[in-house]
Amino acid sequence: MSNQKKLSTMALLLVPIGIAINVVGGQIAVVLKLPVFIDVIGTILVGALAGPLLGGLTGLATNLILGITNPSWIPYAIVNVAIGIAAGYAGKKGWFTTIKGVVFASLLIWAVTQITANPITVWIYGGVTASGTSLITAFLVATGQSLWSAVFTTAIITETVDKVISVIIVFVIIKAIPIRTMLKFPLGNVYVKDSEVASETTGWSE
Amino acid sequence: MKKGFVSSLYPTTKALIIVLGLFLYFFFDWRFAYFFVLPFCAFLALIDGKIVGYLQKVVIALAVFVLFIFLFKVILEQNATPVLLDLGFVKVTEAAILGGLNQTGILIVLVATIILFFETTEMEDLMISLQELKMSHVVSYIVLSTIQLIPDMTKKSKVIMQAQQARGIETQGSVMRRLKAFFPSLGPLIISSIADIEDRSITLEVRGFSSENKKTHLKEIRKGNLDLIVVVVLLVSAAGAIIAKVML
Repeated sequence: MSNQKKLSTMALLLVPIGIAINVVGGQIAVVLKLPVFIDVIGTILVGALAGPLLGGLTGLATNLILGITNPSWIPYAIVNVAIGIAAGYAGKKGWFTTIKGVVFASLLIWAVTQITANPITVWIYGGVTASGTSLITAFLVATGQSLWSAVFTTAIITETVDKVISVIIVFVIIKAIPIRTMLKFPLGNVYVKDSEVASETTGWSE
Repeated sequence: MKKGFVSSLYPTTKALIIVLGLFLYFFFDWRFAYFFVLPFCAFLALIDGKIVGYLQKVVIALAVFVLFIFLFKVILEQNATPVLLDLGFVKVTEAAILGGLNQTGILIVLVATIILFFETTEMEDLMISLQELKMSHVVSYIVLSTIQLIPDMTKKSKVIMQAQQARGIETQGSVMRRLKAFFPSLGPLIISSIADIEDRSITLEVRGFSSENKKTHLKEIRKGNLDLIVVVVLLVSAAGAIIAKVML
């Protein structure tokens, strides 16, 4: 059974959907007035289903396309790319199949976010994130902390919950994808047990 | 409707403005961003007939960031001299204002040039010009379909949210309650979109999407003489500016 799964059309079509999910997820979070952004679900999902390359691409494209109307966010593209790559790595390792794996995936994605986002916040935006979290940062700086440590502390407080929730949501979504569709994605084999494959295929050869 | 001067230029010509703006910024400072790039781009938007939309978008993109960045700098630079404004509980120092201007400079250049570019360029034309540069049609498809997909999905998400509310999902109240409403709002959308992928994939394949053969185009855009002139003028001006800066 030879499947050109590397850059199959199915995998590529995940990217626009991943981007749209990122955008809509962020919008819903605003409508529900949630204190978290949850705007990387699409990136993580594509990474988990299609690997680091497409995950990173989804991240990059999201920021670039959002950058058409609001270029201020473009510098954060690197963060989105890093998250996509991390999610792809976690996907390959099967971390989105078990609770323990979800914990690892959350940690990895969280760590990657901190490493990439905080320096950008400090260097390009002078510590500002254009949201309520900047008030926390300002408060910490006013109490004597350096800008770097204030930004990091703020991020740890606010980003942790955000990323954990996003990973959990992706975990649940993956469980809901029908097997026959899942098998067509590059990392589909990770999520489908061999016994399930046998019962799903009806003798057609790919 | 006659196309404005800037709009009728080839996309890569206009992209040069973005590149040069960012490149030159590193030779100069905030004054370049505020007193040259921003007015210059606004002027180009004006002669193109797009000034209102342009200014609106620039303000929306920059307002919050610039304001916050200046506020931050003010808080950080309480002890420097000279003090420009003393409000008692907070001192606005010259160092803070300068710091704010320097920090926001690059953002100003980025936003002013990129918004000008997209106000005067249609995505279609941009994709065509990139394909001329041997970019894969796959990227064009991803970008164009995403741009069409996002408003589509936003509408669907509103419908789904209303449907879920009718089923009793609470979207107001405590944070936990609102958080629990997130997944029922987004989940069905994601699952149905993923299920759609298979149909889309077949549709694209049937139209020869992954064929390696050369593709023909329905729409073509060409570089004109004007483009050449503009490119030369831009490059010469940029080189001149750098030389002037280095010599003085």
